[in-house]
Amino acid sequence: MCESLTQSPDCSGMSMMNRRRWLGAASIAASSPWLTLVSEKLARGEQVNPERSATSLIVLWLQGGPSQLETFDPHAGKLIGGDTQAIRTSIKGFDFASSLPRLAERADQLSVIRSMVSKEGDHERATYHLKTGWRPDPTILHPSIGAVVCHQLSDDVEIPRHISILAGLWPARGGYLGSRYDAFQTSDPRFPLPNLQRIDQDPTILTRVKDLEYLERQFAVGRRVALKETLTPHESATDQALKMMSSEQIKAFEISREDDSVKKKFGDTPFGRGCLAALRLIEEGVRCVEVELSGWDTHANNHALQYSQAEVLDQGFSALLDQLKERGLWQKTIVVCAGEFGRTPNINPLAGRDHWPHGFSVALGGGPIRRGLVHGATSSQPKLDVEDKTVNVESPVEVPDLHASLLHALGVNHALELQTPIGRPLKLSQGNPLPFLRDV
Amino acid sequence: MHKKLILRSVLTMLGVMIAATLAMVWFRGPVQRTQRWKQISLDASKAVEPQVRLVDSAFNRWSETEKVSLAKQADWLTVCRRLALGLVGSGMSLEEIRHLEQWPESERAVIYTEYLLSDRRWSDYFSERLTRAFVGTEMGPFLLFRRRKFREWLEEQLSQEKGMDSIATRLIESEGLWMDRPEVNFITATIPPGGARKADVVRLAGRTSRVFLGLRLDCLECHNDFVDKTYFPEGDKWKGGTQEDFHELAAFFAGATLAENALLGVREEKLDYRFKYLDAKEEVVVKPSVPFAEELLPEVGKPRERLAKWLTDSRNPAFSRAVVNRFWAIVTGKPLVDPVDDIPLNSEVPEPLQILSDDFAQNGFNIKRLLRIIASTDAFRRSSRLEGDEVTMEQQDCWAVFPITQLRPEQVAGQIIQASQLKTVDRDSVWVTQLARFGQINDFLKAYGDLGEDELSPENETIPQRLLLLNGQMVRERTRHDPVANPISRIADQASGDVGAVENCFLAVLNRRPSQDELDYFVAKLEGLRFGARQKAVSDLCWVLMNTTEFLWNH
Repeated sequence: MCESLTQSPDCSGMSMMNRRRWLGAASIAASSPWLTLVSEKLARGEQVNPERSATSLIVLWLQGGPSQLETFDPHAGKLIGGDTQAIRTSIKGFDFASSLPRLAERADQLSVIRSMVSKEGDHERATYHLKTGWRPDPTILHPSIGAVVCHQLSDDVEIPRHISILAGLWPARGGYLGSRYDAFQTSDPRFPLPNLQRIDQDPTILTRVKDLEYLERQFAVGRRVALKETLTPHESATDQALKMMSSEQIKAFEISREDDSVKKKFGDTPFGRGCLAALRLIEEGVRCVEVELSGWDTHANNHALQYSQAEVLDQGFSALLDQLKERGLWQKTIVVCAGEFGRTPNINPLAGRDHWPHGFSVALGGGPIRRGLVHGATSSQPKLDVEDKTVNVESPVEVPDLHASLLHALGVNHALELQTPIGRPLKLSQGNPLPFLRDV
Repeated sequence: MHKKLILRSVLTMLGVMIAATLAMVWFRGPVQRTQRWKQISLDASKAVEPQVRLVDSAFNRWSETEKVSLAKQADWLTVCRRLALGLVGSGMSLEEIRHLEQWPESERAVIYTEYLLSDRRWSDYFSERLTRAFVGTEMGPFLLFRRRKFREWLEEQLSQEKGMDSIATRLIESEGLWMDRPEVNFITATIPPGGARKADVVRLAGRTSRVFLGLRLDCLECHNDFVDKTYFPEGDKWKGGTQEDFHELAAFFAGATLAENALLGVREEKLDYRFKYLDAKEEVVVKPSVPFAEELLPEVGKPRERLAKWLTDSRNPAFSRAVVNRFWAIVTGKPLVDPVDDIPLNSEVPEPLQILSDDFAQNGFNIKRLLRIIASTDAFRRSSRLEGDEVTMEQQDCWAVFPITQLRPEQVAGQIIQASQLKTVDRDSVWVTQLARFGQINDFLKAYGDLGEDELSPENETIPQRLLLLNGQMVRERTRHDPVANPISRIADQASGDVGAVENCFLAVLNRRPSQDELDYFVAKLEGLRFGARQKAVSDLCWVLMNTTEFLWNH
């Protein structure tokens, strides 16, 4: 990757000089824009196969830290399993927790990684890590995976291409790609979109906009040429907002247009409705949708709380999976279900489980992702007093590798380097695609 | 009968007392503000005039070198709006404009600077900006971190006019409980969750170098510099940054540890910092050391005390540059060296930054003095447009014209709230107004998006932000006709004719008078309208003004 930013993944030795030479050339060629086309073209050396790639991504984000033991990695009947019961899945020899009966039936459509490991045990930092594939770095804000995908793949839709439904404290961000790649945040799809008024529903807006344009012209006098670059984003945001206010595509947010029978399958919960809205948005051409289900931070009364959330997840996720298949979108859409970390194998005195980044589960499927796979394992009798707790995990998977795999599956070159605003070239992902996830 | 009379008298007295109290509360703000206007002294501003001239000359030389022409001085209202945005984070109130109009035009900017610096709003505003730089916006470790306490402490330091060296020293050296020694939160913000006792020395070293040295050394945590970004002086040569430079700096914080009894807070313990360098076979004990100007590092003392003394030594050029560049960015919207915390030691800094930094170091790192100088420079007071010509980026880059920048979210919110009020919304306002302002700003920031600690990096406006301004609750409520909640609509009602109404709206929202063309355009829209229709037209005008680039940008 350092000679032409494509050939070799390491950044040491002789290649550093090449990097410097390239940086110099790129900076001359690109002058102000720091995300250079030169770098993109150079880096496109390692192409992925677009025909076998997905085009859209749905992230089912479980905020708070879902327990692997009450979901995809039950260890039922063991001490660490607590009250968890297991249920057979459609993958021979593998169980899910009994909280996920529908997903257990559809497990043969999914890949489940039971050996995710990370070094972040704080909600905010771990959320950042899982959503961006990078650990927090004070000098730079990394983009979430949805932002990366939107940056790399172009679309022609009048509504935002990156959307976060039921956005919580830390929704997906554009990071160094710019705030225009931030996820557009919405609440429960049962309610109208925030701050979105149809132009045809308010005739006064047209008069106001005309007056606004008049004042904008006044302000631009004497500043127009030099400020074109800085003003453009403002004007563009205004134009896009107005375009959205008059677009038919915003109907994709309106789940009320779906049949009651379909709505019923997703469940009468904000998350279920979020999954349905995600389906409609993907159908409309939106590139990445995040749907958040919070309430997994169960430091007390873990079992009951995890089970109640898992039931909501089970219904929404499985209905989404079914509908994506029914509408012919499953091959073009990747669904990934993850939280920021898992929960401790031991149960605390409040019958809760605490944060545990040393072996947790992620489920994913769709597109070219392999089906019916369970990768890795966690120990039924973990050693908790050791410093390196990953000794309890078989075939550990690092978060950056998961990100690289997702990007790869979406036809994005994960190793592409971009020149960031801090003058430091960064790869889209610092991991490598996991070969076992690729459908063969 | 007798009892009824007594009861009536008591109730009347009670009523009078309540009315008197309310009146006192209501008028307390204007009275106190009037007193502050009267007490303004221009001595401090006059005292910095020679230094301002030096800085002006440096800016002029910069423009000459770039061969660009200078913009004229902006009108006093534009300059005062910049002062309000830069020093207290909101636009000017009509009340302030009317006060200033009583003074000679040439003195208004200086008077307003002094007025704002006598107002607790400036220390409140800067304490939040600096808190973001010092501890970020993360919620931090549960129980061990109290951001609000930290911010209040910082506000107190600023209002007591403590020098920046004193503030930095207390942060670096801090020991004790984070509740009664709020500066300790600088350390505890980095303690990892899950029962850890040691502060995260890597995060502390990164934070310290960025905020107090203006150096982004974080990359050196994992590897030596290979992108020619970091150099340190070594004799009369420059040496590239290494992993050792970073970790030796981090080693100063190795002893910052939570006491066994957590109620004793952070203590300094004698602990080694061990680290395994890239390609090394085993860990080594890393001794504390500084990456440059070693001669300024005291030989004795606790590690963090030594680091603080080295950092704030007036001969350490990096400290004053880093602080001055940050304050310049907060006040003007754009740093002299961008990014704000990346001022390489081996590159020449703009001459104005060097002059300001030298002055800052030679005058006890006096923050108010620095702000007065910044606010008085020609660069701060130049117009952002050229008459009969178009501004170029080169002119903006060397401050030959005032650069336009998008306002930060809290400035947008502060402006919207202030624009609909006649009186200044400040700490002397009635508590209901202050509480409402606090709640509305928080709600707005939640919806608009907060830039967090990267607030001094330019960001583009997003579609949700635009939708929030076009259709959102805050602008809608602040522009609707409501004489109680939005006094601006009352004054538009009471203005002498349509011309007065349009002028008042422009003054309150954009802090300027309309041009003749604008006046004609909008007066025509009010002409002949009465009652509800006129109120609606005024409301439309305020909405339009609040959605303009002019309102949402510093210019």
